[in-house]
Amino acid sequence: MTRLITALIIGAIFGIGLAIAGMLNPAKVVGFLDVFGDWDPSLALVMGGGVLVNAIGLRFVLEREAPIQSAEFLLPTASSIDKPLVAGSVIFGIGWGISGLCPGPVVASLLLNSNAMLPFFGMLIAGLLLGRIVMRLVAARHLAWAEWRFYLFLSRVNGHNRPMQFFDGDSEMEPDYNAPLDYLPRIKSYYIGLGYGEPYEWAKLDHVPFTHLEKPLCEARIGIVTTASIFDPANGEQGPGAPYNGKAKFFRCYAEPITPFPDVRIAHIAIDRAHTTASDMASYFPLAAMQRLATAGYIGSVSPNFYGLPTNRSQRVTTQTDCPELLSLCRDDAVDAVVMVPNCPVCHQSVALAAAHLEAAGIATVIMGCARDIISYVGAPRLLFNDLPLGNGAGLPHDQPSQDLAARMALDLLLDACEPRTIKASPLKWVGAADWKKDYSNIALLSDAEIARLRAEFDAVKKDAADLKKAL
Amino acid sequence: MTIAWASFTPLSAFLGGCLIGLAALLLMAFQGRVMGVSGILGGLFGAASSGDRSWRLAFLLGVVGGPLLWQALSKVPIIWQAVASGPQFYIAAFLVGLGTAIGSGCTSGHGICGLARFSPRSFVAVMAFMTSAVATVAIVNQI
Repeated sequence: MTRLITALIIGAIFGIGLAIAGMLNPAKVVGFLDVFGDWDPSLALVMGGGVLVNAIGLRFVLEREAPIQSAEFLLPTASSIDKPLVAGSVIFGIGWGISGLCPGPVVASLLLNSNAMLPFFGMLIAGLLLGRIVMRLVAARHLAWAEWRFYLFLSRVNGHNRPMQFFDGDSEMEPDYNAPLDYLPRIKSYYIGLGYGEPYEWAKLDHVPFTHLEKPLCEARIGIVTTASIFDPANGEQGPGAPYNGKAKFFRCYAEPITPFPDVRIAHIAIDRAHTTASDMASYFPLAAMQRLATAGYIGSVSPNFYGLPTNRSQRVTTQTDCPELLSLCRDDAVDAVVMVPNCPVCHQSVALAAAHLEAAGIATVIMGCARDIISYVGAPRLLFNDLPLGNGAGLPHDQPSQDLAARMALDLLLDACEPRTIKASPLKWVGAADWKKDYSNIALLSDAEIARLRAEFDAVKKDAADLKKAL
Repeated sequence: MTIAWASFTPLSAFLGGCLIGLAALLLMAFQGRVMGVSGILGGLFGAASSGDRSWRLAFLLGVVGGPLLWQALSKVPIIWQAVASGPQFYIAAFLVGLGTAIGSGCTSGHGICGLARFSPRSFVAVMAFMTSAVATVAIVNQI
């Protein structure tokens, strides 16, 4: 109650201040704004007096732990100078200039001049409500979507086949030591070094299909495609830091519910085991981040199921069996777009092939991946490139802000990309050992004994996988 | 540019301004809130708690009542001279509401409070609405 009385008294002081200052007279306000005519500088003194008293007083007030009658000081947190701030202020200035009335004096003269001010107040509230709706659309990137459709329309009208690009590939300018690791040559020399003759022939798409997201993100249902497998304790060691475990592989696409929160593991694929332990599922499976974005209204919803795509070295099986299966699983849940997170090098190929298949069928896709060169070699519609060791496609482990940033950037790419093969690099940097790019499968760093050991290990793994596949 | 000395009221303007600044200061000291009228109005709508809504209403009630009280006590009528009428008047009202909602603040929030906190965001907003208001008046006077 005392809070309300102080609020009432403070309001009255403000109203009386406005009255004494002359702010309640629209003609006087316009006299101040009429800089090029007969200028009445009085209101500069109103502003000056107000700012002076407030600025001096705030120095002492904000020293306090908390306000006298409430728990904390609620100061504005926004700090960016953005388009809405400037555009809104310009619009307000036009209204202020025409009428000589800003919100404070309008409220203060509601009963003084009720005939004129009540309808004015009504219209002001109507504008305020519309403005709030506009801001909600801005926050949900609804307007960005409309803007993008408009550019697309313009580009078609103008006969250009390529609409305006929203971002420039500044990542191309990176100095060499920052350059992404090229996995293809590294893997090739690694297997040749191990003594395998014929190098693996990677898939290469001549044509990469592309689908525009047909609705704003805040209305879209987003699915997650992963190459991780559902955790089954019967399949041996899959915990953090587990060695490669071929027994945990899966060979058919799956759709599994997102509630209860699933447990998926990546022990069955070739992540960068030297540098990443896969101890944080969120670094390769962005479900939690997507759910936070859905709660925030950034996306419409997360699909009730997530989808598993097998990591299959046979490109024929991937394109002819896995891709159609994945598509039908996604269609069953009516997803509008999918976020796909590959882990190992072959995962990147499988996911790129699946992305092309889904796009051709009208589902927009974005890949969150760490092997940029594989994706660009195979060809994919959109890649958010996280320059992190394999197994961290969705962000840094145990770093929720980085996972949220990556998830948001991936979703934004659904909207911002104008053509297939769009690659955007996230600003995330690996916080662990700096030389992870140097020692990943680097045959030049291995001794003959190590090479022999790895060769034996790899042969055993291949045999296990083949046996498992036969058994299924 | 000529200065309209006849209508220049430096003393009352400064005094009134100081009271406005004092009100902004007291609201921060007591309730920890920024005294931005458009923000206080906007907060009445949407998902505000009833406690949040009630202090806003009490403040606005004070703003409505203050000038009436002042007029009754001082026996000096508060002058009101309209500058716009008809459709312009209502369009202006709508633009004031729309612009302050999108620009997150008005003369009190960005002007009195934001500038006093040396907020760069508020400084830009004040420059933007001042410039556009001055330009609008110049254009309206030409028509």
